[in-house]
Amino acid sequence: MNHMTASATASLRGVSKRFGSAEALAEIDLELAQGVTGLLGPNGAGKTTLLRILATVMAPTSGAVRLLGLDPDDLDNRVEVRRTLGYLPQELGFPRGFTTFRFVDYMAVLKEWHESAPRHTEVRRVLDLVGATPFSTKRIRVLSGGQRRRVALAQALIGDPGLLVLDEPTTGLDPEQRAVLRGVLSSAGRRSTVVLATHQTEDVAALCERVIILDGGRVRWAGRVIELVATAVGKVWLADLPDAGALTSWRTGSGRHHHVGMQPPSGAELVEPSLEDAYLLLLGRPRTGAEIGSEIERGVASAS
Amino acid sequence: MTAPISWHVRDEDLRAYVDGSAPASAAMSIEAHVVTCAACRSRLGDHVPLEPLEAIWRQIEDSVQVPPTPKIHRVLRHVGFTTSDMVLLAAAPALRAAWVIGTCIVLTFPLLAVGWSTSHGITAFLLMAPLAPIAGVAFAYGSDADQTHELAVASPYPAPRLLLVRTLAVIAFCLPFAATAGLLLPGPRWLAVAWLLPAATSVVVILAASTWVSTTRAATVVGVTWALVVTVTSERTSPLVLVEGRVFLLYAVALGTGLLIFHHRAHLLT
Repeated sequence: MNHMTASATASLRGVSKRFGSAEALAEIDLELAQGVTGLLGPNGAGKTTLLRILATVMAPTSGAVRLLGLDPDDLDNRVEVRRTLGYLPQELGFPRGFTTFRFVDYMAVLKEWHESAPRHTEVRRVLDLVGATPFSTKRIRVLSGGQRRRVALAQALIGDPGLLVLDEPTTGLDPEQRAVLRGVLSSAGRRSTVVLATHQTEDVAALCERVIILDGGRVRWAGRVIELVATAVGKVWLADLPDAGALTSWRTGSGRHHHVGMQPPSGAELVEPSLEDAYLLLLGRPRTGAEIGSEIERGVASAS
Repeated sequence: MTAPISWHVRDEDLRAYVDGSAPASAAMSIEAHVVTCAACRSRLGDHVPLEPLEAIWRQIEDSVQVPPTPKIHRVLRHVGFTTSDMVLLAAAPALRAAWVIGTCIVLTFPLLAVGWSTSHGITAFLLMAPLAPIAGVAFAYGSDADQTHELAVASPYPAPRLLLVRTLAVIAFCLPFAATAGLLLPGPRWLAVAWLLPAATSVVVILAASTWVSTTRAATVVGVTWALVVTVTSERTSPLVLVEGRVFLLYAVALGTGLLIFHHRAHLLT
């Protein structure tokens, strides 16, 4: 039975994934539609596992997955989904001795671009999109981490995929490169469904309409970014002194203390929350007395 | 002082000039005019078809950006591999592994054979010759061999085809190496081709096993097994019994079974 709503590109119903006794995903229900969706969560939350399932690289232990209206359990459907899928894994090695152009050209062949002339034109297009043309003839091993990440992203954009699954695409990029990348991804999000996992809440705030927060293999939040931020309104303060009662707090560059918590510290000034504040509030755990004591002793409370 | 230009070339004449259909006298007149008239020179560009120019530009870009095909791959073009097959071959170290072992066989065996008895030379040859394709297939597919394996899995390109293209390339590449070494060895001349049957059987068994375990693991088991069989056999009798007579039937059965298994289970390759 197809539970997908009309606008959903990907749908997961009761999806679980186990690795031996460890449960990476537990009974996940999700729907992804056109636009850019951010995937946030602490390390080990299950983000990469979820993305690998969406990229058809891994099958769930149980539950139903539908991608672009097709069941990827079936081999023919899986191939069909892969024809319109762009995937950037978290860790990507490059074949020895490959230049930027050669690597993306190789990926284009795997994506069934068999004719050389149109394939080379497409390779040039995606290299240009991510600003990799200036180093297209350089060997990948001499490139910087940020340049390699852009090359890896270029291959995911081949053929303008309808479903773009990206695991930490902005890792290693400088602020200028990240801004360029946001432009590329927001443009892709107007035509496709883009899912990106990241640890950078500012990328999600700047780019995504929707956000999913995973924690311990479970969905803690799935909805619009502004709605998540709204949950933190009235719970973020700036104060002159550290506050032992805050869920999390840190000393800012101005010397004042940024507090996130349920109770305002004395003399505190209410401030606009950010996505990061809302994320910390959602996932934050109250600190132990020993932790708070140690922080006050040091005079600086750190972000948990 | 130059007199101001009081006339301009008509569009249809410019078009005829560009496509070469204008009479010679008209063409010369138009040419003389556009040299001095900036307006007509500019309009002339509108009539020049861009496609041939873009094709030339693409060729220039290709000559700069597309790396030359390695010599090792160019050889395979002559036996039916396409240009996109060449691109696929480059990403896995399969050919490199086969090349290293193949070269070792050709360079070392004839030299060593001089000091060996015929029996020892044949044993060593039968031990080593199938290892080149076995090593090549070990590095043809899978996360152990291919750094981009996860991307290959997520692509629509059929995994069995990718494995087979690389495997066939390895076999095609190994043939001349081992055949040359076989001809240089003392012993029967047919040995230069007889090793192909155990080699092909080993490769097919690895392909079949790769639907359960990684190609590197399957190749390790097959390679070690083959080495044990050759060693034990040569201690008891002539190593040539491994490539003659009724043993062929065993290879044929293993080959057929392996092919059937691979055919039925190839879709399980990840």
